Amino acid sequence: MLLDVQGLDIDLAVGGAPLRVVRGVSFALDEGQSLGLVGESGSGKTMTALAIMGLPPDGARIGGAIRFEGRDIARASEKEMQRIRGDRIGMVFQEPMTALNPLQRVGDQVAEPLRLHRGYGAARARAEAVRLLERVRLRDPDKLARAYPFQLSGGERQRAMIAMALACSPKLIIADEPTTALDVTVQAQILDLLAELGAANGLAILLVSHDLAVIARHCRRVMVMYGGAVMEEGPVEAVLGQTLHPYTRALLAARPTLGAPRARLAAIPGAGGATAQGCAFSNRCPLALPACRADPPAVTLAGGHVVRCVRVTSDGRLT
Amino acid sequence: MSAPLLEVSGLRKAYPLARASWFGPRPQRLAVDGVDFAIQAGRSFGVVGESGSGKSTLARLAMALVKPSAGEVRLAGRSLFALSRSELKSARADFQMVFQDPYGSLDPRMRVERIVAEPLPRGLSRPEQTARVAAVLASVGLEADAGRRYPHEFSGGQRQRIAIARALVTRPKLVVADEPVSALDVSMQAQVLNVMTDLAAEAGVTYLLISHDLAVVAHVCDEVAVMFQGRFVETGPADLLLTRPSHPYTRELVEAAPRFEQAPLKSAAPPPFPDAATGCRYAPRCPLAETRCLAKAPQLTVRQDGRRVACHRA
Repeated sequence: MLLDVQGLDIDLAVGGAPLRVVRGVSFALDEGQSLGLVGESGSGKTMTALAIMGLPPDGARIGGAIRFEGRDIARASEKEMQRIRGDRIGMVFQEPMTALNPLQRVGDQVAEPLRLHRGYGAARARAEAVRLLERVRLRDPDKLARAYPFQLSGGERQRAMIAMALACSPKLIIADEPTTALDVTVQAQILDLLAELGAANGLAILLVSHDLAVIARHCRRVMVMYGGAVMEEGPVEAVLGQTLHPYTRALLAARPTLGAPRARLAAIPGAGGATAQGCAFSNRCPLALPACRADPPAVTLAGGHVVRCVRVTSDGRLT
Repeated sequence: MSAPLLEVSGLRKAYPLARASWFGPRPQRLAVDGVDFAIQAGRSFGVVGESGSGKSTLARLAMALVKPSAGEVRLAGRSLFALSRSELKSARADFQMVFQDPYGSLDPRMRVERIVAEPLPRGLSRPEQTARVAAVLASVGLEADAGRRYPHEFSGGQRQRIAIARALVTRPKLVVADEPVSALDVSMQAQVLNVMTDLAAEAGVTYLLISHDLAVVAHVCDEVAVMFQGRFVETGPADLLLTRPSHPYTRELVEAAPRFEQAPLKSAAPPPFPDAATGCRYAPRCPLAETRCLAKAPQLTVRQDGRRVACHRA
């Protein structure tokens, strides 16, 4: 298994008291697979991704295990993580404008991982940068390599970020809201590109997004998080085809969809924020029972579809 | 038919760009390049487009927040840019605006009741004012004590409902909303969209809604215009446009909209750079483009089914 996360807990120190922002998250990802982490703000999806990259916020305490290529990296030193990041794990963030250095030419930045991890000289790195920019289908890669980030459009910048993430032929790409700042047409192109590169090179892709539709379209498996905990996970067809968890159902019903008849949307009551004990969604859940104050059982159904809800039966019904 | 609620004709807005040389002319960018449309009372109108399409500039022009380079905006038959400053101020009671950012658009040091009461005309008695504020807060689904609290005590969705309450307190005929839900989580979006559609049904509010999100526009609006590089490429009834798009750009938008289904893997070639100077601006990206598309820009023309399309091929 390429990436194996077991019982990941993350505590942040907020005003002295520890606040658990990720609770018992477990998943595995193998070469060539894609997993989407979906959730609203505060769901813990970004914290989970940051922990895997060894970039948790200052003072965060990490429990559980994160095994990458067989090694537990949850407790790796910063020096070890620096060797892994950009080399074995490529990263793509939401804001390509802030993630890129405005004063450095695009080509030099794209090639930086190669100079850092592979000891490439300047000329060789530059030639490789042009090849990488070509691989993410940028036109005129020679010219773009010499350009500065502000001279590129948002979509071009995000393509350059993907080129940089691919530079050292990593095994895993973690993309956190890679297209949230982009237009829909550009978004579709960037996500198609990521999926295509992943399939062609046997990359594992962990895609983090607030948008269930984005995940559905570009990942094979999905994990729905709320308040730091996993609510429902499994193959996209199962989670969207036979949605069982009340939270996933609420998420689907809350969004208008193109082509559907116009009706009042089913808004989720309450204002967010997780319940500290038991099921994280129980204080907003229309189906909550007293039993929801205890940790919900994980009900495993066919095809690896797992639902954490006391109201889901072992034969896959929501009662 | 009576005069439309809002009528926009020949609207243009040019922004000066940096000079290319010291003594050369200052180049201009046409953010809005000749837009005409009318909104009938009760028929909410949505404008969709990508960033840089000019849709937010169009909203600001319709609100008379910026002056156009050419063209006119008429609200219930009155030309907005011919009004004096004080006339415009009193006319604003009839059209209000809701902005994207529910954090930046509410003064954090004011209580909600003061924020919401701000657009009310002077000379309203204190009890009248309190009653109006309480009624409008209730209409957006906020509790009675919300007025005594400060913006930071509310979630993003609730804050956006406060912004809508402020826009509605003068009982406007038209509310211009620029990306009102794009900064919100999905579960909060539904609260705000429900408030918007409820108020359209119950209080007869008409919206000019600006959004990049086709599904949101289709949910709130009866009429839709698709904007590309400062011009409308297609306008018409929302269900018609979004289920059977005619212009190739509308088709591209509808196909790219995320929906709950898996996409087949396909090659992801980047679009060529838009640089058509004389012809259709979409032609460099258009799969259907022919030589005539590069030579001559198509005009918006009325089709049999009631929509207007600017395309030689559609």
